[in-house]
Amino acid sequence: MNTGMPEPPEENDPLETLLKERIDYIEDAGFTDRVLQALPSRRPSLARRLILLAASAIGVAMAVWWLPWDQPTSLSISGSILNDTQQLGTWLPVCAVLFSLGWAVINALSDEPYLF
Amino acid sequence: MSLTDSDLIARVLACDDQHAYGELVRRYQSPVRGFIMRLTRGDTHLADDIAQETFVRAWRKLHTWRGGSRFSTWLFSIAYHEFCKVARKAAPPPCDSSEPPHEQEQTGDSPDTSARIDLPAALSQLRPDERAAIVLCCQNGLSHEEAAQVLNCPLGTVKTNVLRGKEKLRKLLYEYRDARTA
Repeated sequence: MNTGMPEPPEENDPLETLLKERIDYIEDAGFTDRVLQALPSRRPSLARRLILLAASAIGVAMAVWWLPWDQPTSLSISGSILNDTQQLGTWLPVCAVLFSLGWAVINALSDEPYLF
Repeated sequence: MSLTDSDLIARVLACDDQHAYGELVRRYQSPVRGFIMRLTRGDTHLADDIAQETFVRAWRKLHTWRGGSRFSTWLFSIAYHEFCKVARKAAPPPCDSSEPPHEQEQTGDSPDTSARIDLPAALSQLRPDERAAIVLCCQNGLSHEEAAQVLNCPLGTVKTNVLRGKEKLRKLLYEYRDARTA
């Protein structure tokens, strides 16, 4: 069980005593200021959100443009979709676009980038 | 009355209060930098770079701290992770010679003082996992369970590394003393 308590030192162990004596305090000497200057914003910038959303919108528009709207049968889902090369070739890009769109929206709205 | 770590973290999370985070950094910079300095065998510049990255990463990930463990334990685990990343990228530093520290540091010292001078050199001879376990448990007062959490390894491994590390330290300190008196 984690009690959070340090292990009891071995009694009269000169090595334990020596190790404890050797904890020197390290002066800050501007370290904290350097850390504070290096801190990024905890919230993603508006520009990052806008760029991601705009890129997603452009991607979706291009995908819609390229979809074979004049051949609606190729976009229908049938039970043998995995065996039908034409249907698979159509649906794979659609799934990829939807996946990319979801990823971009999540990234635009979240504080941390999601990588794979 | 000074604020607790949890109070300061709550302030940071609520309103990105950099002053509150600065207070946390001031509280823990010494143990974190000291821990990394031991891991890097006294390379202060590298240790400070890793320590800075540790606190920046902690700032980014602060919302993931659940309060189930001490804040210092959480910081040590980030610090160790950052050290491992750097160690993986860099070629391992050449092992220190097993010679005792330079003579001029020892003249006129009592045996106890000599042992104190020898300790950093002896610590640098340990394997990184043994050194980390010794520094966390024997110098920073973490329990074996907390050290296992920091080092991301089984509890038994930490206990073994502490015991084995201490044995090696004793042996090295005797060797240094014998080399000096010979």
